[in-house]
Amino acid sequence: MLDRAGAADRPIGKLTTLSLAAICETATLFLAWSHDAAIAAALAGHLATVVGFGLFGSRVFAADRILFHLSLMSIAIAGPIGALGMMFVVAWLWMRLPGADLNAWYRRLSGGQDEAPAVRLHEQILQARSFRPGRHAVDHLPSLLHAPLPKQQALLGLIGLDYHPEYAGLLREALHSEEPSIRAHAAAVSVKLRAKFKDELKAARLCIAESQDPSRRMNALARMRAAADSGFLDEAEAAAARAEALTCCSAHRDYSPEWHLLYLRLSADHEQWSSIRDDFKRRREPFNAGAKELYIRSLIELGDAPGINELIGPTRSSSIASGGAYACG
Amino acid sequence: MRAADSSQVGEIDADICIIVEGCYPYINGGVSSWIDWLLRGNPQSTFAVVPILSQRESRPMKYELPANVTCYRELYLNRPVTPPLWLSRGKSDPKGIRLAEALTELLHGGGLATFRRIAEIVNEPNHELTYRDLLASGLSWTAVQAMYKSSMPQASFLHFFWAWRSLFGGLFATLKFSIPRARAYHAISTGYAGLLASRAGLETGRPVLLTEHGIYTNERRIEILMAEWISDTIDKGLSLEDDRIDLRDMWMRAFDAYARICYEACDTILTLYEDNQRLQLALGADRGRLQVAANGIDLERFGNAVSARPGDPPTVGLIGRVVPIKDVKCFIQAVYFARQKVPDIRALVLGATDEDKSYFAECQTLVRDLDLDDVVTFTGPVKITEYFSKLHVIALTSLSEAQPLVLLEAGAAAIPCVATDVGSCREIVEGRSSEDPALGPGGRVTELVNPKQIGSAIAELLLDDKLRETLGQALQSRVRAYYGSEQALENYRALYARHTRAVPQPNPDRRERWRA
Repeated sequence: MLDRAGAADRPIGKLTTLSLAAICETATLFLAWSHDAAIAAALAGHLATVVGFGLFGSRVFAADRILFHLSLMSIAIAGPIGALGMMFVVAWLWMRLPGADLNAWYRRLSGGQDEAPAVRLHEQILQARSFRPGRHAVDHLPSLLHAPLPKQQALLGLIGLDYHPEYAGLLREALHSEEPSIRAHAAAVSVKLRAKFKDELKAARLCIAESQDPSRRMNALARMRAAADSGFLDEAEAAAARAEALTCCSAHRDYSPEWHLLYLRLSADHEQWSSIRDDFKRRREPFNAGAKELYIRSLIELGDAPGINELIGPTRSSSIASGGAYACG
Repeated sequence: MRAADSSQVGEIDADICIIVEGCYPYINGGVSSWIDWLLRGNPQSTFAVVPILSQRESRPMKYELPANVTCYRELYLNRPVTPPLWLSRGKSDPKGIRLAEALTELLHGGGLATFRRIAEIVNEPNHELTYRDLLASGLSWTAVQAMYKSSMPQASFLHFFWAWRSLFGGLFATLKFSIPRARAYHAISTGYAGLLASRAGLETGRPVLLTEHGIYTNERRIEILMAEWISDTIDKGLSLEDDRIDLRDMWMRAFDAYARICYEACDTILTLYEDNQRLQLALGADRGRLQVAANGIDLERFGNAVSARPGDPPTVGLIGRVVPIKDVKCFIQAVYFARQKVPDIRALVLGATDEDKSYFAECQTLVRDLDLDDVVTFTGPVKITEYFSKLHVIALTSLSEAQPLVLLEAGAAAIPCVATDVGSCREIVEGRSSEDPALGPGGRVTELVNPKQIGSAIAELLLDDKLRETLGQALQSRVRAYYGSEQALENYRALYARHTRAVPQPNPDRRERWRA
């Protein structure tokens, strides 16, 4: 693959090779012109220069074949003038095309993610690629299973590519469709997703075992939880995955708010409401919305009225005092 | 491009040219075995065989070509292209514009007439385009740009460019291939095989036949809709009404077009069972050309097989390649559930394990995880008849099938089956609604991807000798009545005889159908 940026960044080798060729050609010409060498010898010298440039230059110009071929032809046809001309071209390219810009351009052509997300989004909007029709264009998904065949298949394709646990019912319904091709399609999607979530679980376990990076481990635990919730693991396997994730998460729950929230969610998955309540009592710092929601839920599940009162606390007291909405009659 | 002309009767490579994609003769399986059966069952005819492959194969052939195969040529969809050193700059190539227009029309509902136009542009006498012209030249660059602007201006051009090369590279390969000369052309699927057969029909005026086992286009559609390697460059969210064409749509439209072309070109369109015809009609096939031609098996060979005795270790077998479409993992899980009721169960997976090595490894891991090492055995490819004496029940857990020969073979040996409700399995196991007299069920039909239900059905049959015998005999009666090899071969002999009669004059009806 061409690395034009590389070529532009390192012109010294190319300039040196071209200048050597220019010197050899000039010498050959001079000897021929001054009759110190026979024409045949001069031609041989020219040929030797061209061949030598071809052999040596092919390595120096390895990243830029077009420049190499141009240079070879220029030297073969125009001797020292050709070599000098190509030296100007190489220098001009180097000065005119900043290496970093070229690098970025070629990475972009190759499909690499180089530009800033904002730049990418801006381009996609301009090219009408990042534009979704309004709410009315989103069909009611369950009704699609009675739509024409291509739409049903498109729906199953969407589910296969971007699965959410809420789609499990749709997939089950499709597996029992009267249309044989829909049953087969739904089965293919199920098999694909089953394999995907099993692989996710495996990869998550591997990451937890091998990585010390907290954010990677947290991400792995979240993926483990998602795999368990997907509906594509056996019940026993899903329960084991959740338990494993909870055990691992418990040890690091105080590491960051995100860890803490994940711990609470995993505890809620296991209906460990007492643990959640006790955890809140232990911590004194403010909670984010997600954590608070789980805390409230734990209080409700445990029927802990005093705890709920304490949570509402000053708001209620001041309302009563001022005869507000919570004042008793 | 010369007009349809059948006066070249005297110079042919074979009577029938069989065109097949992606199986025979390199891959073991149902369709490959069927082709082998077809070739050997018609010794009176000569055949040319054109396998369509992605690239030159390094693995050996799994089937020996019979003596009546007089011509064999491989078509490679992916050929290396050396781009020229210099590309001319300047105005767009008008031929590239015409090519782009025709290809765009193909993606927007074009059929045989559009394909003919594309073939005429590519193979214009004295101005033929080479494969390199079509993929790596100023002309191809013009075509790519024009097509992008008219069809998919919102999609990523970078992705479009590579998808275009991949998708239409195969189309161009079929247009540049040297077609064997035959009296009739028989494609074993739509897709590229159907395209090549259609082109042969256009250029020679000879009849074109199609036999579909599964519906190729539908199978590609399922794959494409789930493919992670196809980039979705347009954010459509959850909308299924968005008109903007992205790469995924392009791939599906292309295969839909190939199916339309093939159906329009074919004189006779065969499939193995009636249910398949619904999809063929939905994809544009003419009802008047549709026929059902069920598979057949050698009743004598399988009917004489010795069955397993009631006292032998209860054994269930899955006969098939270890590949995802056969859902062997589901079978392994079903055996796990069946073992809860039949503790001494044995399970054999009888089929090749080398086609998808990573999937086979996953199956082996699953066997270990479920503690079934002493229960499940992978035998690799074997002679099925030698194993019938060990099998009490045959299981088929496939996600997609046409007319699985394994059910017919097991049925001929009076072995009852537990099969998922795919393809013609229900028709084979329970009989058609028009079956008269009704022979009764020959096993159990289950839901897809339901190892519990499948395991329960397997256990039911393994535990009840009387039930097993009754079901086995019913299935055997059905197979003998409707699925004999000789009957099936006779159908194809008659078909070939009808379509390979020498036609002294070009058939005006045929040319009429192909006019734009």
